[in-house]
Amino acid sequence: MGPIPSIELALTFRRRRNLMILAVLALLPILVGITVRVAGIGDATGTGMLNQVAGNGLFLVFASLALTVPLFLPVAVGAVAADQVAGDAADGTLRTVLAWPVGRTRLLAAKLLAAVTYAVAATFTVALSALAAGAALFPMRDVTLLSGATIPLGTAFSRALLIALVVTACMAGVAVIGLTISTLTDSPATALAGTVALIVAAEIAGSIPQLDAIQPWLFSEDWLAFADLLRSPVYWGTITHSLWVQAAYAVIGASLAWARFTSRDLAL
Amino acid sequence: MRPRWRLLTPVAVAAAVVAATTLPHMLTASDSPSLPRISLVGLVQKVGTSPARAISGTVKLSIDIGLPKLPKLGTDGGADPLRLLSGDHLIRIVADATDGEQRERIALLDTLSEYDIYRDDSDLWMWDSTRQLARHSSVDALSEALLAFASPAELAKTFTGPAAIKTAVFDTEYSSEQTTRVAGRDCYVVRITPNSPGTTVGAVRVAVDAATGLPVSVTVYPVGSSKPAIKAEFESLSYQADPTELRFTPPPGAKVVEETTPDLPENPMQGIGTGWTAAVAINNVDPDKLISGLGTQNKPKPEPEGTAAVLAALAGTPGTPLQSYLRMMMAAGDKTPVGLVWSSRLVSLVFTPDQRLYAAFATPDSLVATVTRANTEAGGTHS
Repeated sequence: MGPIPSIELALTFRRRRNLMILAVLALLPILVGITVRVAGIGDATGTGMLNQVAGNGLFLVFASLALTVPLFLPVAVGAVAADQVAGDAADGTLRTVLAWPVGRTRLLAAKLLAAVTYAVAATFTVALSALAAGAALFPMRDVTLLSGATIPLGTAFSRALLIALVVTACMAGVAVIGLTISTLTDSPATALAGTVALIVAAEIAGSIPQLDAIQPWLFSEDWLAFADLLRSPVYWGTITHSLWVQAAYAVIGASLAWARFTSRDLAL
Repeated sequence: MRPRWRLLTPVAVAAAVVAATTLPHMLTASDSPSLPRISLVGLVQKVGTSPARAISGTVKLSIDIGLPKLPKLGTDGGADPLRLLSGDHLIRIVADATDGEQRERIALLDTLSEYDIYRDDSDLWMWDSTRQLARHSSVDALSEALLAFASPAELAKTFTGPAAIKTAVFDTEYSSEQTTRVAGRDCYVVRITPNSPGTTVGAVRVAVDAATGLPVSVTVYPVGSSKPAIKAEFESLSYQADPTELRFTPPPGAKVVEETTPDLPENPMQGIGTGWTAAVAINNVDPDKLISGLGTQNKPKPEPEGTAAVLAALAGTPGTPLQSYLRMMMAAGDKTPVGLVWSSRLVSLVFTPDQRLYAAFATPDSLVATVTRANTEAGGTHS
């Protein structure tokens, strides 16, 4: 790895705020696990996957992802990505960095890599923390799929890994969107607000039945499709569609970020 | 000059992405394979007489009969057959009748949840993933009829099956359209246009697999509308069924409820009237029990929380959003001398004081007339 990507990665993962976000994300599944254990949720008193956590710790992974994917994870990933360029522009480091003998395209690629790596880290923080808490608080056993069939624990672990990867891909899409917005403004607050507003707007549009014509093309529409991996047989249609939508947004977003970042005047 | 050119790049990329997503759709839409000519009579006879003994596939079902659409409320309530009343749904269908027994699996694939119906000849299992509840009962006439609704093949039989053709042939026009492709299968297309007053069905379009005669797509248009009220179409289809997928044993940890089928004094369902305006009557319907018993046991439910509580408060009735929605629908019926009457773009319902529910693809006036006629006939023979 060249020096620029490693510098950007180090900047992203050494910033105290970004580490605090990861810590909060790690804490969420533990809190959910303790709540389920103490309050005795289960036996059809909770909704959906939370019901099964008490009987099988591995379900804490699925339930935690289902709980964090609609808001916590995308906002965390989006906030960090939105700071990548606008944050540097605001505190003046961007001008210093641009004085280095490095092309702007390579610099942007390094920032993109850092934002996407943070998306991977955030998703796996939730998943691994949930796995640890689930194993500590509850029994781990064969998994009952949504279809009612049961798969052995080993197969269930590989399904859990696939699920984490699908969620990671969706969150990487959010990272690219956040970075794109970050290149459009010099104010980190504006970039953050814009990214969060876009996420919330997409989710509201996704919940209004009358907008069903545009819903398949919203980046947030199929974030919860990862649960299709818990069916027998696995239904790939929605997941595949969702991944293509993420790719489309990422390609358009990255090209916009590149055009803006390489052409704007920063020599003030 | 260079910066300007660069700013055009995202526009070009966006245009390329849009083109890449829309072009394949446009190409497949105009895809009409050339098939050997078939006479209209031969084609109509082909529908629903499929020799296929085993199928498996995924069906996209869109229902828009004029009821308000249910908002997607995340995981609340989970997959539920009553959600089929409106909106878009994904249904997996597997059926196997190769060894003389009828085995079926119908699964409603909903966000984070699934509702499965497994049928093994006369044995019936209903699996609700949200509540981890397996209900065991036997197939009766009512469940048999409900099972038939989800698959395009069965739905098509409602309009084109031998019985339907016999009753409807005199007031129906059949025409063949261009061929099409559905789920990778070459299909003939039949258009069925009712020619009788009083019906709400404007036209029915059925795509039939040219090789097997299985209806793979059914679209029902209400009178005077080009927006389908029902569209059921296979998204993927194979003429094989995995026997392991058709077997259901309650998973460990699930609640199992054994339900005895009540001894019904008479056939719970009966047909009334003939032709396109014919009605189906379901006896002994208790709407309150039906709504409060949606997939749950008949024990007091815990108070709703979160979004469900807000919606319940708005609706003024306790229960899940789906239950409140159905109660509001109940209250919205017109009170007539015959009973409560509901109408929609496609289906009209009459609920009479003697707990019978009549349903028909007919205008409310036509259905009320049918019900009145049935009542006077029954009254005439009894007294």
